[in-house]
Order: sequence, then C-alpha cells, then structure tokens
Amino acid sequence: MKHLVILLTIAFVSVSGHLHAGDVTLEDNFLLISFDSDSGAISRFEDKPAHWLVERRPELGVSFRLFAPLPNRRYNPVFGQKQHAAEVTKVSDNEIRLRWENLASENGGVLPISFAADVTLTNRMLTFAATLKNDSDLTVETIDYPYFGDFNPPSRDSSMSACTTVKGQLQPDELYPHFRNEKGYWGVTWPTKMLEPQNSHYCLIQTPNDVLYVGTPHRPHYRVQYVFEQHPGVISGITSLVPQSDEISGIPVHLEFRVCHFVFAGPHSTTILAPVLVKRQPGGLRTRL
Amino acid sequence: MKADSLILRRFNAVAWPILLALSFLSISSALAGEVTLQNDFWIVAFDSDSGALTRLESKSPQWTIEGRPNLGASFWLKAESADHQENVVLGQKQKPVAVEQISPHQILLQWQNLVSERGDTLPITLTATVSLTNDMLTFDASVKNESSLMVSAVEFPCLGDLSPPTPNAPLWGHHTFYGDLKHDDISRGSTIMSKQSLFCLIQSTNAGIYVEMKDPTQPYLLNFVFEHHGFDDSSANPSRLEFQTTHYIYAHPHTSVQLAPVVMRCYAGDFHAGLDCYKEWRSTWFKEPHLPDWAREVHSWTMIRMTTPEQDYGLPYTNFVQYGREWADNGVRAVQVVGWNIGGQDADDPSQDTDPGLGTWQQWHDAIAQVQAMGVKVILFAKLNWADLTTSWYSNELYKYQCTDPNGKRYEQGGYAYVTPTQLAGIGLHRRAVMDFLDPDYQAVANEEFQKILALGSEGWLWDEICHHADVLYTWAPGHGYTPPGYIYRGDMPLSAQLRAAADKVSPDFIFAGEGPEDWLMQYYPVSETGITSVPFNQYLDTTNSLVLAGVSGFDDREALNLILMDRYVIQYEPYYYKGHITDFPMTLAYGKKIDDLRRRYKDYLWDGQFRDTIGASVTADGRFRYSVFDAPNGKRAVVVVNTDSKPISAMVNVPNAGSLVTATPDDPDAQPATGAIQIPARCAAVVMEQ
Repeated sequence: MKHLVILLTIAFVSVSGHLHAGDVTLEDNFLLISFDSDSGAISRFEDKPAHWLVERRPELGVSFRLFAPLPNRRYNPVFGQKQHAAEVTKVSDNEIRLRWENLASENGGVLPISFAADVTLTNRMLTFAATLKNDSDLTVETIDYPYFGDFNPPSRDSSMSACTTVKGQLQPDELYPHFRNEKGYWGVTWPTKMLEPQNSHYCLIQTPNDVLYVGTPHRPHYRVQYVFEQHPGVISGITSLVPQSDEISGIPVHLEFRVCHFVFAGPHSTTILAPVLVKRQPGGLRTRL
Repeated sequence: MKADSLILRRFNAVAWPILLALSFLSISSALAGEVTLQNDFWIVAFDSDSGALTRLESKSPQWTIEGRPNLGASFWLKAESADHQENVVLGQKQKPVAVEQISPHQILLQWQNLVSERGDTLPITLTATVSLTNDMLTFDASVKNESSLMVSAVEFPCLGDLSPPTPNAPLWGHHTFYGDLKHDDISRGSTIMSKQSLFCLIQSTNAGIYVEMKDPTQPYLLNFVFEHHGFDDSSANPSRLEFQTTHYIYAHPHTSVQLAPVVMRCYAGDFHAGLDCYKEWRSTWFKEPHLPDWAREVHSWTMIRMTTPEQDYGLPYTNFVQYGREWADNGVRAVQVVGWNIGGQDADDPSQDTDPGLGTWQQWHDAIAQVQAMGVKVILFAKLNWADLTTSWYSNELYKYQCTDPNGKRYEQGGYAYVTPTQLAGIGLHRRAVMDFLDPDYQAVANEEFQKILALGSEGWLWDEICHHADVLYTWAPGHGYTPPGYIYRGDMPLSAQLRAAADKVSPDFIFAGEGPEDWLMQYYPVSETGITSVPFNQYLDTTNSLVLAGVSGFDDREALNLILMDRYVIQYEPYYYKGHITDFPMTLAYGKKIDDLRRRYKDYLWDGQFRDTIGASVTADGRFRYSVFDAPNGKRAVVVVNTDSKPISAMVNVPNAGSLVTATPDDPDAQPATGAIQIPARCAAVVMEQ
C-alpha cells in the first residue's frame, strides 16, 4: 500500500509537472491549463507570452454547472464544485479527459446523468469538447462549460473588456476595473453580463496587450451565451468599480466566466455540445478571426 | 441645367418681393382681424376668421412664444365610427361661429357643424373659453357631440409656431416620472403623457413655460405633444415647432364632455421655478396622507427576497426571524419583504396567499410578529396589477377582468427573469394579463387579496409597479361596468382609496409604500421607492411628509450613501441585490449608520428641513462635486456638498446673508466653525450649516 502511494505520487507529479499536487496540466509555449484531479475544476489558466495568469486561485476553480428542473420545482442546479470527478486523466501530451457521473443535484437527489469533456491543446488553441448523457427523466436545460471561477485581468491596474458582435460591429463591454450589471438586479445575486453575439459565434476578451478568443468553430444549433458574474459585487452601485483586492469584508473578489449552452437535452438522450475554443489572438482585434 | 438655374434666379429676383408683399398683406389682414386679450403678463390673440391662436407673448419674462400669425392653429379633432373608421376634422378648415371677447379677461371661441376631411358635416360643437388671471392663461373647452360617431381625441390649445425666447435658444421638455424630473430636447418632437406628469415645462435658457392639465383626478389621458414640421428653406412649409395638448376624451355619440382646463404660466429661471408653479397648484388639491410617527424619525430600511418563480425558496418563513435579529441589532427600522407570496416574486399575481414551499401561513404570520416585536416593521411587497397567465385562476376567472385592445385582444406584460440561465435568457417567463382597475368586479378581487396582507399582521405593504399598467392606456373590454373604452389610470386612485379604507379599519398607521407612484398617488402612498434620481422631485415638493427609498448594494458604497444624504432619501440596504444578510457588507452598513447618525444630530436641517435642491446657496470647487440646500424650520440653511471626484477637493460654499457657519461630516460629526471654505476628501461629504 505504501509503495502504491509512492508510485501514485510519482505518477501524479510526472503528469502535472508542476503546480499543485492535485493538478493535471496541459501546456505548450503559449498556454497552460490545469484541472483539479478531484473535482475536475479549472485550477489554473495562463497566457504565457503575456504573463497573464487568467485563472489564478485554485480554491475558486469551477468545473461545470447544469440545470435540470424537477416536475414540481424548477430550481434544481447541479454544481460541479459539489461533484467528484469520475475521471481526470491526461490521456496524451495534449489531451485531458474528464468525466462526472451520477450527479448530485441540489433538490432532486442523485441523477443518472454523466458529463464528459475532452480538453485538448493543439496549435496554441484549447478545445473544450463535451458530451452530456442524460439517463434521467428530467430535461437538462442548460450546461455551463467551460467555467472559469476566477477570471483575472492581467494585473490590478490593468483593464479588461469582453467584445461581441452587435449589429455587425464588435461591441466592447467593460469587465474591469468597472463592471456594470446588465441584467435586472431583481433576478440576479451578483452583477451579471450575459453576452450573446449576433451573427457570430465568439466572444473576445480584450486587455491592453492581449486578446483571448473564446468561441465555437461554427454557429451551434442551440443558443450560446458568454456569461460574466462579478462576485461578491462592486464597491459602489454609482461607480461600478470592482474591488481591487482579493477579498472585501472577508469575501473573495472574483469574476466568474462561463459559456452557457442552452441544450434542452430531453430525458434519456445524449447531447454533444458545440466545442468551445480558447486561443490567444496575438495582434489584438485587428487579426482575422 | 444652367438655363434652369438662370430661370430660378430670375424668378427669385422677381417673385420674392411679390411673395413677401403678399405675405405681409396677409399678416396685416390677420392682425387686423385679431381678438386680443392682454394683462401685465400676457398677450394672446386669435384670428377672428378662423379662431386660430395667432399671437402669444409673455411680457415678463419677455418671450414671443407664438410669433408668426400665418402659422397659427385652432384645433384638431378625431371622430371614430363603431368599426373604428377615423374621421378627422382640421380646425383651420372650419369657420368659427364665435370669436369674441366676453369680458376684459376672457375670449369665447366656438365651432359648430364641423366638416371632416371625408366631407361629412358632423353635428359636433367645440366651445372654448380663454381666460387671463394674473400670470395664468387658461384654456377651457367642451365638446358637444350630437353625432353618431365617438369623438376620440381633441387637440386644444394648439400653438402652430412654438418659438424659443431668443433665436436658436434651446428648448427642453421636462416632466416628472418615477420621482424624477425627466427632460428631452423637444426641438425635433416629443410627447409627454399625463399618466406620468400633470404638467410639462418648456424650458429654455433662463425662462420657461409651465403647462398644466388642471385636473388631478386622471379623468382621461392628455398628451403634451411637440411636433417639428417643415423645412428651413421652404416658405410654403417653413420649419416650425408645433405644440398642442391632445385630450383623449372618447366622447360617446350624443354626449357632452368638459375638457380638463389647460393652464400656462411663464416664468423666469430654470426648472425649479417651473416646479414651484406646480407646487403652488398642488397645494390646492393634494391631501397629505398619514405617515406614522416611526416613519417621521431618521431611520433606514432593508430589503430581502424569499423566493422566485423558479422556486428556489432561498429564505423559508421560519428563517426570517434570524434575519430580523440582524436588522434589529443594526438599528434597521423596516424591511421590505419580496417574494413571500405564492409563486414568489412576479408569479401567481394577484394572489396574496402564502407559498407552501416557504412554510405555512401560521409560520409566516408568527415570524412577522416576532420580527416586528424586535422593532423592525415588516412591509410586504405585492402586485395587484396583473394576472399570471400560467395560473388556473386566470384561466377560470381572472381573464374576465383583463384589459383588451379595440380588436378584443388581450394586453400583456412580459414578465420578469429570475435566477436560472433559462429565465435570465428570457425563456419561460410568467407573462401577465393586465387587470382593469375600473372594473368593480376586479376591484373586489383586489380588495379580497389585500385583506390577506392585512391578515398577516404586517405594519405595511409596498405595491410594486404601482406606477404603470404596461402598454395599456385604454381598455375596450366589454362587461366591466362601464361603456368602453376606459382609461385604466383613472382607476388607480379609487382602488387605492378602497384599499386605504380597508387598512384604516386595522390601523391608520398601516403604511402604504409604492414603486415610484405618480405624484397624485403619493396621497395614498407616502413612501416611494425610486432609487437615486437625477432630480429628487418628491423631496423638492414636500420633504417631510413623504419618504423616498433608495437602495444601496455596493460593498463599500459611500458614493450612493453620500447622495442619499444630499438628497434626503431613506437608506434601503440591499446586500447581494436584496438576497443577502445586512452584515455581508459591513463597510456600507457602517457608513450608512454614520449618515443616519449625522442626520439625527442635525435633524432640523437634514431631516426636518425642506429640501431645496440647489436653490438658496451656491458652491464652487476645484474638482467635481454636487450639492443641495436644506431650509430648517427656523429658517437656517444647510448645504450638503458631496465630492464626486476621485481626489480631495477644496470647495467654497456661499450662503447669501448667512450668519456664522459650522461644518460637520459623517466621519467627523462634531460641528466645527467654518467660513464656507471646506476640504472634502474623495468619497466624502460635508455639511455646512448656518448657526
């Protein structure tokens, strides 16, 4: 048993290479991404040439989230943070396989639903490909994947915005240092933006020196939104300034970013999600997308 | 092309003098046929041949409001057949039977047997009296409809050429809504509706015109309409701004309708002077509602939600008491509770039953009693405007009371999105039918539901969305106890009066709050929830007999709290957009307490004083700032200056003819002698008070 632990530890260290002991990592000269081996949450994400540590704090990492309303209660989320991953395996130098099974929902008990993802890093581009196998009697309305729990600007004194196409024009929407809530405040708990590109299928995260492309290879056959949520809120509702610290009043300050797939996967069905591509866009917004 | 150009130039050279001469003759002729009223304030003239208003001039301030007689207009009227075929009457094509001065200060105008654009002669009579009383110019009118058509709308008075006081001076239209004074550039057209504002201000640089619908009972919809017509380079159709008040009277065949008088007053100064005109008229009809003693003291509110249409059941009834302790421990005096009723916030309206998913009726009743015993007033949020289309109650009964359009189709309100990605993306919202407040049967339903709120023993309620009826103005639904169409806003006050009477049987102290009620509704809802507005209209009208709530949600929200101090709002703590504990944002809570402590300490100025906005003092500074003035009951003044810059500022407060001054701040509340020169750090406010 002792030898097995040592062997497993050695194996683990060799797979993750560096970072946290429980991380499984993919990297090249441009991007690095790590997943927590227990939860499958994204624990680190780095844009290396820009020295931009996008996902910084592992404790704020998230894996996925889905909603499967019950017949008598619509609010029935499955939080990835509350699941143990059945598999977090680096299957090759450029691919990690993740899988969650028998998902524990908030109000409907354990559901016979499995969610599997293949994350690949090829040619400086990450691809998040995922499949939902719904063996329950419920409809899975939405899946948030990938899900960044701590999406940071390059530095405290930097700036960051999300750009999507609106009426044929790239429309910037500031994420940092100001974050304005764009949903009815009655319906949300945190300042929220739900961006939905028109006639395109991507969202660009723009900083002064770099751009991250997040999108699907083509327009999916279902609705996709790029969702940003500023926790726990802003300093002031007047200025919409984001606290420039890791915590405010003892509460972590972090920006969540997730891609929401409106799949409406019926009972006993399998749904292949539109792959989500994440890549550096050196040269900024002028580069051909 | 050259030949054409030459011909045009020759034509211009020859024709223009002739046209100008003809124009002059026609104007002279119009002037010769004018019937004129004038006093120390106004000159108003009507063409004796057409009844058109050809001249309107204010003497003080000097303003030629209607300057080109040839652009004068009289009225416009629309009649409709039973199948909604329109028949329009243009005033300029009618010959009046009377344009005569009937007293030194009154002119009578009358048009009979109106000829419509379809060529029909309609047995309709429009009679108007124009009166001058000091600075008030009043247009009274009545319609006697002896036709078989319904007279749906009448435009009167009409200004065919609304001009600024000086060439190219700006013209803005101001009106009130949601506790604010909104404004638009009216030069290209705009419409202000009496369902929001009983007046509009036509504001220019240093003068304005106050225009009032002189009937505070909402008898029908009146629109203040600005329309731009014509072109700068056209003599036949010159560029001009027309202004008229459109009365949507829906006068049935063989009936007579007295129009609401329209009053105009001209004033010097900015919009405050216009608001003072309204304030003066308002004092003649506004009945001050009862405000319980606790609400007259400096205090703060908070807000919490229990559940939503997505059935998240975030706060069960039995957990409410734990929150209550936190509120009581932190001196919060009232809590607005949202989503306590069946279906949660914005579902199952208008039902005011409790939600089994949150607990039992008894549990909720007892929790309310326990929290109120701690000194925290429970204010129950509710809506009686709508019927949730997803309920069997709607399908079985409430559809009978819904508003419908002229084609018999249901009006709808689109619902609101909550919590889940599905709803937040606008999918699966609970759409609602719009209930007809004029229908006595629906009034009975509303009363019955309101009794359920009273039975729970809370100290008040807040009617959310009291300020509107979605897209509905008039409803054509038959069988509602009157001959349609009915103006839905006419039902607001009678229904409110019924609910107030029901509450009075329980306790006159049962407080009525509303979401941005229109000013006339403040007679029933002395607590208005609007948030921070650009012009604190309610506070300016009457600071001490009403409360205006402003939510604070930032985690160190000094900016919002400083404005709350400046404009005399009541703090409403809303951590996590009213889904959290008040202790979740300790920095905001601590500064809010300092604000209220300061207001308690200098209550005569900052709470019991009359809010004057920026009137009565001036401030200069070397950075961005805002300020307000309070007049204490003893006549002493206070000025609140808020640093809205990101750096410290040096400000100079000038209070004319002030005695000795002192200054204090929320962070340093001990009054210190002052000269008026003050330093204000970033994110801070200071008060300068006359001793």
